[in-house]
Amino acid sequence: MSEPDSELENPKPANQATYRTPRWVIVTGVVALVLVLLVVVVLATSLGGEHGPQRHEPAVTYFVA
Amino acid sequence: MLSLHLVSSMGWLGAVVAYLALDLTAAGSQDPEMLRSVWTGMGLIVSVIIVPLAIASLLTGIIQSLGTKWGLFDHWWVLISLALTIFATVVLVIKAPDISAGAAAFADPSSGHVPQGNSLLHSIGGLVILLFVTVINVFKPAGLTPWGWKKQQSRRVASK
Repeated sequence: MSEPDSELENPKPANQATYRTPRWVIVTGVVALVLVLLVVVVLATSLGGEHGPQRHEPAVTYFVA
Repeated sequence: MLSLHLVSSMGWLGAVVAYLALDLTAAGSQDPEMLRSVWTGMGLIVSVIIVPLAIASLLTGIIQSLGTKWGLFDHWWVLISLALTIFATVVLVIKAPDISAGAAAFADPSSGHVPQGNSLLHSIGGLVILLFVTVINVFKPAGLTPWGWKKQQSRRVASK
């Protein structure tokens, strides 16, 4: 975080009359939204199966003698 | 402070990779003893390494950005890094007790409880987030947030 400020080296964004969100931020937001929706769908439909040790505790099928 | 931030962040990333290796083993194993060992390891890695490093990474990142010209809310790459780190840390802190408690409960062979399943959604999701944050921290893609842009505009007007 202590490297040269690219915004200061390149004054182009500051010369804009109106604010514009950078394209990479929009693309990142869209990809993140799609991933979140995908995870929600997988969890809601249980397509991903159950996970974590405690969820299986009540339904133990193995027994170690 | 930068050194602390780098060490904690990269340590967090490395620990998640180690956790993922155990998680993949848990996903592919049917052997009760192997599962017991793997979950014990996962419980230890989460509680002893990942959680402390995640909190350290978040705190040192905030201090580091506030102490430099980047600021905390002025640049998109800092703001997105902050948001994703907070999200990952919160999910981690919520899920870690479950993993540790589950691993502890299954650590006793006489209990007859053997863990099944995995936490791949969390470990892979966490790894993707940490890799993305690392990439944007290294490349620092240009782009001011609306707040950073306003601040820069007002500085520009004041200097005229």
